[in-house]
Amino acid sequence: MLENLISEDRVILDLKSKTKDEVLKELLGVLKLPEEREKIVLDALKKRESIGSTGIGKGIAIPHVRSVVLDDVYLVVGLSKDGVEFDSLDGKPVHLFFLLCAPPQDPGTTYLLTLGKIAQIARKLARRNDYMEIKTPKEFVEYLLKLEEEEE
Amino acid sequence: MNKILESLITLNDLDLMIEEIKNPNYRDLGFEIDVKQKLEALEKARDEIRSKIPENILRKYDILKKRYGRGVSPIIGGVCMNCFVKLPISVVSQPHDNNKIETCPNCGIFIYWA
Repeated sequence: MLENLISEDRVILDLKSKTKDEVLKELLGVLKLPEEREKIVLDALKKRESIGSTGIGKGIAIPHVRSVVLDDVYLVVGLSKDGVEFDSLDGKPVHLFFLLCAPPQDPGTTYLLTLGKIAQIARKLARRNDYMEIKTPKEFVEYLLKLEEEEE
Repeated sequence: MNKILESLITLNDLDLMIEEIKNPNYRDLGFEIDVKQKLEALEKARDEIRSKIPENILRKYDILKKRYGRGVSPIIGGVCMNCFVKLPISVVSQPHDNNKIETCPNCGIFIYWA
């Protein structure tokens, strides 16, 4: 499932942002949406975060949103060496982000399934920290795809 | 962008968020949300947005939402992302800056030129 969504050009290994709003913008920027649409999606993402942080603890967050201005399901993965304060459950800074954006009805209604799959991968990642050493987006994609296959 | 169109997009995105946190499958994913409290806040925000939209447009939005699960759709490459029908050249070739309320000539959904 993940292989259809993840690509090297949607992996950022050196996020620069220091705050929640900045990191959402930096992650979303990878999709190169036209300015007006990016603003709408960013506003929806912030609204979603305001009802409860998507920082699930152990340094991982899964910001996600559905918006009517989107035409496809998009996944962006970002890594921050310094970490970002994200109001996580455990109060710790977030180092790994999975940004998932989708239209209202994506083809095959995969949005919730994908979100579930990412949450499952995040649980596996929570038990490791070797991913912080990965040097290239290609290696990171391979690492995640391998992890997807592993038993929980 | 037309203020009413902007409100319709915000309303639709809020409606999606409300549907999402009501969905038991979503709640099983483990995102910590005080559903009751947050639902109230979201519904209040939705009511505020609805109050900015004229009643005839709101009525149409509600009908579209019931029929298609959404009230607004982007037009990308001349194609409506709700019904996936290519709009007539005569419509697509006009300049579009989202400064007026328009609907898809095929499915009737409110459209946003992306």
